Amino acid sequence: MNSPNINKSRYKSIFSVSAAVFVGLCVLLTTFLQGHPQPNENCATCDQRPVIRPDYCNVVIPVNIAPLNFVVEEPGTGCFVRICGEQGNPITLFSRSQKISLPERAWHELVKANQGGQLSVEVSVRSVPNMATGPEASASSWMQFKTIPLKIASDPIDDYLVYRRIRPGHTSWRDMGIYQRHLESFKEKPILTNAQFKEGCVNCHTFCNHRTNKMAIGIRSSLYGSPELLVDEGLVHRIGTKFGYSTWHPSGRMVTFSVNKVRQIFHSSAGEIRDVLDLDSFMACYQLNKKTIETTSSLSDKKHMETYPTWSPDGRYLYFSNAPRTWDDKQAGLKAYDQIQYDLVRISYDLDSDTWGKIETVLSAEATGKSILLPRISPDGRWLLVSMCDYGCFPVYRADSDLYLIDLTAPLVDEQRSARRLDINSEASESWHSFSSNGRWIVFSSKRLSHIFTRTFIAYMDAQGKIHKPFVLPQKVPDRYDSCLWTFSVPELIKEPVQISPRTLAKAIQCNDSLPMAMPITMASPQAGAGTMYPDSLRE
Amino acid sequence: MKKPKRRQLETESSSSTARHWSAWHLVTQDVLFYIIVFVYIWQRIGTHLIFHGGGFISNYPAFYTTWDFFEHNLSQLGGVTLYVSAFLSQLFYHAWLGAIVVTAQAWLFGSCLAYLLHSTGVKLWRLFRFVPAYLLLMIYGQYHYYVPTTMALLLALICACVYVACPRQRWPVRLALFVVLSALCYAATGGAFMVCVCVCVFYEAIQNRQLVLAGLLALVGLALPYGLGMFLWNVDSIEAYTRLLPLSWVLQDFESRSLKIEIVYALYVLTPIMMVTGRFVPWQGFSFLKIPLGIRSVFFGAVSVAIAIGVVCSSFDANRKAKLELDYFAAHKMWPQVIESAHKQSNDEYALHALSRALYHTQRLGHDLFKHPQKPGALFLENKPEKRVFWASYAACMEMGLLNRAEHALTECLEGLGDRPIILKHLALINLAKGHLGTARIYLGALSKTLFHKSWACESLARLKSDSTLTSNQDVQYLRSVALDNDIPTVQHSPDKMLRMLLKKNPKNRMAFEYLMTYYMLNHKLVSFAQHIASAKDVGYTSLPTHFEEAALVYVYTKRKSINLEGLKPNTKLRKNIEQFGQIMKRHKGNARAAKYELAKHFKNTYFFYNMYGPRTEKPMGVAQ
Repeated sequence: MNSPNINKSRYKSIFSVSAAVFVGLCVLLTTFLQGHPQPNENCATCDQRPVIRPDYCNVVIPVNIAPLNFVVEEPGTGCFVRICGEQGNPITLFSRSQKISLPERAWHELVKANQGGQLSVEVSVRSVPNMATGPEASASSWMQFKTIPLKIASDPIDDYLVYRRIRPGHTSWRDMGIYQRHLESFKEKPILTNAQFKEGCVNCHTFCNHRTNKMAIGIRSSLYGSPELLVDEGLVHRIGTKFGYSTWHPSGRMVTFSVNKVRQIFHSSAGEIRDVLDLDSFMACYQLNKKTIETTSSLSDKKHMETYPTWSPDGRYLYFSNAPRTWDDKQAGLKAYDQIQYDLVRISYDLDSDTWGKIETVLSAEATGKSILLPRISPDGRWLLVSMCDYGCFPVYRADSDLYLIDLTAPLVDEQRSARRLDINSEASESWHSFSSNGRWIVFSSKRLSHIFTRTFIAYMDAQGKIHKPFVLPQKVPDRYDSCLWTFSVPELIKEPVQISPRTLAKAIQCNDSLPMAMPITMASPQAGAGTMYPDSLRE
Repeated sequence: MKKPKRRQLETESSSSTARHWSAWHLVTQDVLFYIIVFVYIWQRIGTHLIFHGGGFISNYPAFYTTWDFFEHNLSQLGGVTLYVSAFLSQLFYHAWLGAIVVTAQAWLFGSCLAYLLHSTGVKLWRLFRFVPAYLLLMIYGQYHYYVPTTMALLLALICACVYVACPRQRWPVRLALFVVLSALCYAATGGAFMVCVCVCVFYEAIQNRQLVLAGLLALVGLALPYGLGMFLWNVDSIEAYTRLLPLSWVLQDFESRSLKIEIVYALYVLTPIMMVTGRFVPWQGFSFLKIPLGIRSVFFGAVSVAIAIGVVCSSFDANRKAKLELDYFAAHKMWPQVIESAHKQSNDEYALHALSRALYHTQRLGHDLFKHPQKPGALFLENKPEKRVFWASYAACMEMGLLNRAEHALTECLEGLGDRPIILKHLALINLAKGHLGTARIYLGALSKTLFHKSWACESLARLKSDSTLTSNQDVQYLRSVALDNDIPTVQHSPDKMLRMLLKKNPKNRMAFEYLMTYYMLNHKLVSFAQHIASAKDVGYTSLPTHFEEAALVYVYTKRKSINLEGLKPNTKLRKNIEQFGQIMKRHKGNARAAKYELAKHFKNTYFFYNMYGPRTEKPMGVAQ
């Protein structure tokens, strides 16, 4: 008996919904067809480039990079941006907030169409005249700025960037992880986060030849110890000892690593609150086929501290930083923290016979007056990139840390190489650099945007060794770095994504089944159950 | 159509009226009850204290009004719960807002429980519906943070109610409905989804007697976390089943986060247990007692309420509240309240530390310090291994100019306690003072994305834009005037060295001076005290504070050396006091133990007494005649 009433109310609701949808579509269509505000031909011009943040002016970008979203810093009520090149369809957009998020597909099409060429970024800012009355009151005026050039290199960059994402903590940590970022998009995925093994520490990730079939990650955990996870062709091995800074031999048969006895010093009044020093360190090699750790006296000299190993691309030389240890006790070591300077040395190695040569000085601290750290060699073996700072072994905490380039093919000067300070350095710390697999791109960590938060920068290096202006890793949200409390450190470029799941790695950490290792005993040898790093309760 | 008979109509009408009045009765009860709950939470508990955290609560979430934050949360297992909890937790900032949130949570819990019990035929659902509120009051009265896990449970119960409320269909339809609901529930609540499964299984088994369907629901419930959790969210099997539960390692692995967690367990098992026991335990309503029903209801209702109130009140952690309150007062510079509160917690070094700060800011440090029992290590919280020290000490470090030390403490707090707005704010200030504007902008940028500190951050950013030297920013100018600029790198800085360096940089740094003198007095370092007391004139004193002069007199009388205090007016009364002190000692033949009672009567609140009886490692400097 009630069916007609039910039907009526049903029809009413259907009608209401349909009407709402129709109105909504009309509004959308109107907005779409109306287009966005843009400057007319008579707008004012400015012969200066607009201030944009991040600064992408005059940089060289790879063809496979995500859109360079940015914020226009010029005062205004909106801005119109047009990006065009000799080929392809230009991108135009208007933003009231002056935050420019470029459409990904259109960006990639435009960049690919202009590979090897250049893009022009035209920025016009709209302002509304104040106190105007009458017909001109609602009229807005535009200011068009000088075009920003964006060069596109012919050489692509590796598809993925791996970094450690951590807060700038001092002695403790909460959330951290190793992440891989797809450079052509904004997708960031965890390789391993510390939430997967109860907030331990994860660091020192390294890859063999920019591939992910062989990689190593270091762990420190009060619950699970300090193992090294070694991934070898899809299998995860848990090595029951602590690896510090590590490097793969290009053959993939060996991982060379340092073991460091690290201490922190705190400044009562300085820009950077803390400093780090090694009270001792040595290096050793893990042989994958033998599953043993071996060292040689040159790499574990009790009178020296060896750290930051890196192999030459041909596997014939191991480069590392080396400093004399002039103290026998901790106190003396702590007092000498600002006098420690590392030389850059190398030692030859024959893989087949497993024999080491003699240590040669590549560049001495005495010659440069600086501590030479973090050697990394380009894949073609020609260029050697280092960080140099006034003293110490942790350049990321040194504002004076700069990047230097050494041409390994250039003739020796006084039996040593000569290093050139790069123009891309800033007043802040530059460090944690590495090359792409084609040797055309370098990535490094810099604190130039703020003296605490490390950001990842990318710079193009041409065949002559000239390194062009770097740009910060682009983010989906244009002003993300303005409020981002993360530091992005130890950037490494890889060709393909890491396939091992975080869960598999975490399982390996949590299982007790480790490959037991006998380590050579020195002052730097890890103690049993060594876990997190805490400062000594040591008074002056 | 036949007209219903008159008697039938009257019966129907009277039972409808009865139901109407019964509903009104219930609503009135609810309103009254939850008003009381609201007032209790607002006035007695004070959610603003939980928000403040006091350095205890390390798992309080940050909340940012950005799309990024929203996406990041929602991409996690239990993301909806995490996001909603993070948002609602920010409302605790205002005690009344937090009280509304908790009251609403209690009401929703109660309503879900009532509905589920009523749906399964449990007779005492009217009484039991208040039990979740009591449990929540117990949880919040302990001043621990369990909002995500309780919120997860609430959402799971709401999902269960949705399932139960759906009209009865054939079992394939119900199963399909359950699968869809389960997926959504699991995504939103993580491991708390298992409670939803229990409730739905019990409902089908007990109420609908659909045992096969119940079994299928249980299978789906067990398999879903394994499938979705491990393969969609990439978590391990334990995490897939325990995420957001009280069992989760996020709570269990941290002692401070899992205190009194039994109450949370009780909240979790309440609904399933009540459904089962309420259904199978025949409740006669004490009908064996020969008392009229109305009186019986009122009496036993009152007894139940009294027991519940007793349990809630006895579980209230007044001690923890006192500590949180003290810390809150200190952070908000409510000095009289700090002094009053610290006096009641004289055994606690954190309280003494806050007390010193309050006394300094009320110009009473040199006069009233020894009115309260003292411990030497409390001034700088030395030799305390816990991380809470960083939280408690950064403010004093900032105020006296130890900016690096304060920044170190705050950075540790950021890691240990999360992105608290108060931490971000002070880190921004320090970096502004140090001239690290890029870093300051980032902290301010993050702060501008929070709920209640946005305006301060935006104003600061705007001021920074117009005046990068910050000459108009009084806080920054003050910090710059006192900031230490002499760098001594070390593993750990000794307080007196830092204070001396501060005074060297700015002799007018009154806080550094008073703390230095206090440090020497508390640690019985009167020789050092005597060496530096003359600086009082540089600070601007015309006469020495009481305790400082007492300490100077102790030094003079014991060492038989003079101290040059030119220009500072002596207090003759204090000289008489020390002589009297000496006479009492002499009367007891120098026996400090024997003289203690008499000396305490007259000199308990003086440095003379502390010097003799205060905690120390060396022998006291005896005050001889």
